[in-house]
Amino acid sequence: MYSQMISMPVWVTLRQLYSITASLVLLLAVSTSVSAQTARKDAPECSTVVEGLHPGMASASLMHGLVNVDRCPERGPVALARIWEAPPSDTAALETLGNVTLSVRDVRVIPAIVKTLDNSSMPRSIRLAALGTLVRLYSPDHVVQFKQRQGKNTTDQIYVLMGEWSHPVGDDGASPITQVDRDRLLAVITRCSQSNSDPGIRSAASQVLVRLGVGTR
Amino acid sequence: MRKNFGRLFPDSSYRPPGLGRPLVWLAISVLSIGAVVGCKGDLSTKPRSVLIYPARPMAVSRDLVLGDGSVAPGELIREVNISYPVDPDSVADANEVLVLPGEYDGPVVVEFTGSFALDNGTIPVSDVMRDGYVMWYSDQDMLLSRRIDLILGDTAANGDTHYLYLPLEIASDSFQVVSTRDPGKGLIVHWGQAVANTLGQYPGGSGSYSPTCAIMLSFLCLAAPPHDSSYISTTPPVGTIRIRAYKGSAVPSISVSCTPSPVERGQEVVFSAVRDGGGPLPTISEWKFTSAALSAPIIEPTSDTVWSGIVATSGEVTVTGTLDGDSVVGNGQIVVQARDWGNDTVRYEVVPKDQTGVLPVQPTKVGHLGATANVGDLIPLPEEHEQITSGPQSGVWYWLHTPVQAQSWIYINRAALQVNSDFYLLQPATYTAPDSCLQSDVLPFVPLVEAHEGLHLETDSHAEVFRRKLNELVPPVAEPVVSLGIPQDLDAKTATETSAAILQAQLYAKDSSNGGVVLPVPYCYFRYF
Repeated sequence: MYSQMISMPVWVTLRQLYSITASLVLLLAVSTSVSAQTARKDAPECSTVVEGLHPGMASASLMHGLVNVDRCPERGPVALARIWEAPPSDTAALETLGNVTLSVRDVRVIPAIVKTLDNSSMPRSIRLAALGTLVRLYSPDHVVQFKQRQGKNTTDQIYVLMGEWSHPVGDDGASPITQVDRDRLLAVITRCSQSNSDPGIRSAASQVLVRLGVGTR
Repeated sequence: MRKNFGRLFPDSSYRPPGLGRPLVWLAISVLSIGAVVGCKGDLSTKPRSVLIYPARPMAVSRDLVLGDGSVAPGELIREVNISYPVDPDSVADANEVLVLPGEYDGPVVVEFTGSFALDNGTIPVSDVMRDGYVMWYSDQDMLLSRRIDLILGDTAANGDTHYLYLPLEIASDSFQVVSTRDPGKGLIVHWGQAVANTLGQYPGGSGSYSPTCAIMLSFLCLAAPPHDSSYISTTPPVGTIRIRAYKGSAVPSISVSCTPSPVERGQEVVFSAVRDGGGPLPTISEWKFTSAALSAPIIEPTSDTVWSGIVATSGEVTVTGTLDGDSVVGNGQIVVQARDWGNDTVRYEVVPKDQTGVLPVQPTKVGHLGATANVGDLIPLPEEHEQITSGPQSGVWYWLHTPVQAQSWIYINRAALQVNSDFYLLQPATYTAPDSCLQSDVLPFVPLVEAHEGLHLETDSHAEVFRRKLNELVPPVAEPVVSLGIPQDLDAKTATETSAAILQAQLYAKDSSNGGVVLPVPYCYFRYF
């Protein structure tokens, strides 16, 4: 994070003091008003943004179309949910889709991602991307990436590369994820670790739970 | 159930055998009558002496050890039987010779067998021989104490005797001690008894005196037992102790030598079965290695007297065989030391990432101008671990290199930090206020963001701090991990050890405002709205 240099004058006149006090009162009023709002509003260009997103669209077009979804907390998650029902197959587009989903964290996108995670006809890479996104919706401080072991003595094991942000990133959508939703997300991840049809995905989910401090190896 | 008839002096010291004589005890008793009031007074103002059994550790003689099987009893030298009670008017104590000076200089196994019967329990000979042990009983409502003396001593030809305390820690009706003495010295057992009356009736009742201090012996006060029948017998102790002295002979034994020890992990060691004291080698039937770090022992049936191979963890080695027709077991130990992994660092790379979804094109706070995600986990490469295929640690997996991979994903908001972006145009073109950024400050901020995140691993950046902390914490915890079985077991054990270190490095490399140590970049203020 970057702080910016502060050079306060040492002497503050009475008039300046009055001005500062008035500003503080105004700031307090504004902040109270802002905190009273439940969610952010869509930017004017959001109609164009969401109309440009279609399930099954080419990865390059999709990545371009996802750029401004973070400015659309109301309609963006709905459009993202549609994309998650038929997600792209290449890893770069999947990573961007996951990141953009985290930029408007919204409960409305969760069912589509869970459906993808549970869809055994989907490629493993897509289902792992769904799992990683659900993990980050559960714990926005974390990032996660899955890797397959290579070389001799290989098995079906998937390794989890997990980490933390230097500072919080992303924002809430119009329907933010509540503690109840987080509990449900944890239940989904736990169920995945126990009963997903892909043993590699089950293992990955188990490792994630351990790293989140809610599971055992 | 054994009863607590016996009590210990709280701070007793060795009492010479002469104190067992009746005249001495009579003198002590007379003195005690005069001293008891003062003693009682002391007890009323100080915490009462606690006579918990045992009251203090036994003094371990350098000349006596409890028999541990390493010296076997051989030819019987002498046997003595001593019966209690002894008539105090005839003889109260005596010395019985077990070995005459010069008769036999080798180790002597002395065996004590017997117990004392009281009205509702028995006391094994081992308890009686504890230093300061006293049995309580009542006789015509008078509380009495009886102390049995059974003390070994080595004697020189001139009669000088050195008494030896028994290092007893267990209760047993029969036990053996081994005496090794200077050449020319003999061995005696001193026996005796001491009977003392208390100063009143017991148990205490209306008008009777309940003693809290029964005997004044020198400066020691022997407190009376609790008023509980389980501590007091209604009959004096009766019993016979049999004492046998045998010539001791060393039991043939083997041990295991380990060369070299300590040894660095991944190096070869040689275990050799050797006969203690030299002589023909044992016939070996099996080698076994055990370690707390392994889930099971490693056993190899073999007749080889040598067991060698690469080792990865410390532990115990046991060899089984026969020696002169007798079954023998020898033990050894291997100490494995850590390798120097100061240069065996975590696999690490900086990965520049696309900002989409992470940093908005139109930033609304300073944190939107750049970000770093420090990730890491156990992701071993095939060449980083190895399984030992033969010898004492056959089947053990261990690491050849640090099996952790880490990355710093770096996001720079280049969409905003460029000329004519919405963010650029939001800044004033000309001076408005001190500390406020201008459009001309936008592009110069890019290298500062890159350096703060650590795109080129700049010192004290998020990336550099993370890598530095990882290499400080992770290799030392991964280096010693071993497992027996499949490589996935090694992975699981190592992940448990390394995940905490990785998490610590991640937290350490966060912004100082977010719990880490990375300092903010001093700069002017940008506008965001």
